[in-house]
Formats: sequence, structure tokens, C-alpha cells
Amino acid sequence: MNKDFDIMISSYLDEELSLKDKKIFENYMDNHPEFLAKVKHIKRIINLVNQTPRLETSQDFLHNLEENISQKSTFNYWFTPQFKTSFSFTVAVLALFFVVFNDYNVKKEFSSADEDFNKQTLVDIKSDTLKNDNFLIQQVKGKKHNK
Amino acid sequence: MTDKTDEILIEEFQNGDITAYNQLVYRYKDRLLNYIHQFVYDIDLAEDLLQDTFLKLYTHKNSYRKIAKFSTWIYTIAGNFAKTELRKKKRRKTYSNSELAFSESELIVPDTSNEPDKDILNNSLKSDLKECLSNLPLDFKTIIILRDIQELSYDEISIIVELPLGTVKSRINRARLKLYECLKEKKVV
Repeated sequence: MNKDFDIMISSYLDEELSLKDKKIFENYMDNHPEFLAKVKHIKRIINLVNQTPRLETSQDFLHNLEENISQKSTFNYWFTPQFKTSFSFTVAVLALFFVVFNDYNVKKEFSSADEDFNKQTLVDIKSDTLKNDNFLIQQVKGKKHNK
Repeated sequence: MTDKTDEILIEEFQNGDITAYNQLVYRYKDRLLNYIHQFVYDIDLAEDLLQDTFLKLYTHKNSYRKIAKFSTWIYTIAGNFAKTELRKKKRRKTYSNSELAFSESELIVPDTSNEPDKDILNNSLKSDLKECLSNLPLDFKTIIILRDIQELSYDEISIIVELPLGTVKSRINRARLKLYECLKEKKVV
């Protein structure tokens, strides 16, 4: 029986019992001085717990919080949607610039290589032509000499 | 100070009003410090965890939804930080007895009576009570702190600890009985 009333102690002290249960509980206490003493002790314990000295934050607490927030805000900027968007845009522009610039350079290299090749070919052709001319002249000279 | 409710203030803060944030901090800083301190028993650490709590409020303001009371939400955040710190301490296995001890200031009892014997008795009871409270299992301790120190309602506690109302009521009762038994063992009641 006592266990049933034990369960009701907090509800009684916190005034959570119905009127009917409260009467039954109080009646039980009246007839059981030991149980009444227990309830009184628990009530005292609750009061003592409630009287625990209250602490207060230090004087620089708010200042420190302000500093932490400003640090956090700067750090968090890296993860804001605005930053992500602008960062992505910058990367895309740089990538595009790199691709275009690279393509331009490659083309330039190719065209200069073509030019060099063409020049070289012209030189070669010219020298070949000269050689051929010389050969022909020599052949003509040789025929004349034989005659 | 303002008469605005916490819920109005958080809404204003969500809309970008930083003064609303400052008011919430001012309203809750001491209450939450006491709450966290009951877990860690270290005033500096409690302040650090309180800083984390308010930083989280600042950075995650939009996580708060109107369906809950602001107080239950902020207590949940603070409690989670405190419990995580306790778990870290346990993992590091550096949980020394000194961490369970109390600072001198905590044992100072305001002079409310001129009867010295009663004072001595009260002091002794208070220090034993603190020891019993700190030795309670975490679930019971949390519930006692929320109910008997922070004076929150059963409903609010139920939301913070995420337990049904009936379970909260029975835990409060069991926690108080445990405290009573602990003090009885120490022969102070």
C-alpha cells in the first residue's frame, strides 16, 4: 500500500492530484506518521534544491559572445549562398577565360608553325629550282662541248 | 526591458532584428548558466557551453519553429551541449572526483536565520544534497534540475526531454525519492 502512496508524493506536492485522490492521500498521511515525515522531508528537499545559489554570467560574457559571433559571421560567410554563387560564377568565368585563352594560344602556335613550314618549303623549293637550273645548264653545256 | 514574449522576439530575430537576439540572450543567460552548471560543475566550462548555446541560437535561428515554446527549444540546445560535454569527459576517462566536488562559492548559504545550529544543519544538508544530486543518474538529474531549480512545468519538461508526460511525472517522483534515500543514508534526514 505504501508503494502506491509513494508514487503519489510528487503529484501531491506539485498539486497535481485530483480532489478525491488528495483526500485519500492526506487521510493516509494522518494515519501513518512515518509516511507523513517522509513527505515533509521530500518537501524540504525540494525547497533546498530550489534554493541552490544562483550563478550569474561573468561581466565579459556578452563582450565575448559578441566577439564569437563576429568571428563566426566571417567564417560563415564562406558558406553563405551568396558567397557560393559568386564563387561559382568567378570560377566559371576563369575557366572560360582559360579555355578561350588556351585555344587562342594553340591556334596561334599552329599558325606560326604553318608559317615556318611554308617559309621553309619556299626556301627548299627555291634551292631545288636553283639546283635543277644549274643541272640543266651543265647538261646543256656538256652537250655543246661534245658536239 | 520589453514585455514581448520569447516567441515574438525569436520571430523578430528571424526577420533580422539583432536587438531581439540581444534581449533573448539577456533573458536567458543566467537561467541557462545555472542549468548547464548543474551538469558540469565548472563555472568556466558552463560559460563556454553557454556561449556555444547562444552561438547556435544565432547561426541556427531558422531551425526554431513556432510549434514549440522558445524556452523548451533553448533548454534543449543547452542541455545537449552539457550532456555532450559530459560524454566527452567520460570518454577521456578523466572524470576525477574533483569534478564532482563543489566550489566554495556554491556552498555559501545566505544568512537567513540567527540560529547558528540551524545554519550548520542547513549547510550540512545542502552540501550532502548537492552531492546526492550530482550522483543521480543523468536522466533523473536533468529532470530534477528542470523541475525544482528551473521551475519548468511538467509539459515543458516533457518536450525538452522528449518523454511522455506520464513518464516525466513518474521520473520526477523517483528522482526525489532517490534524493531522499541518498540523504537518509547520510543520516541527514
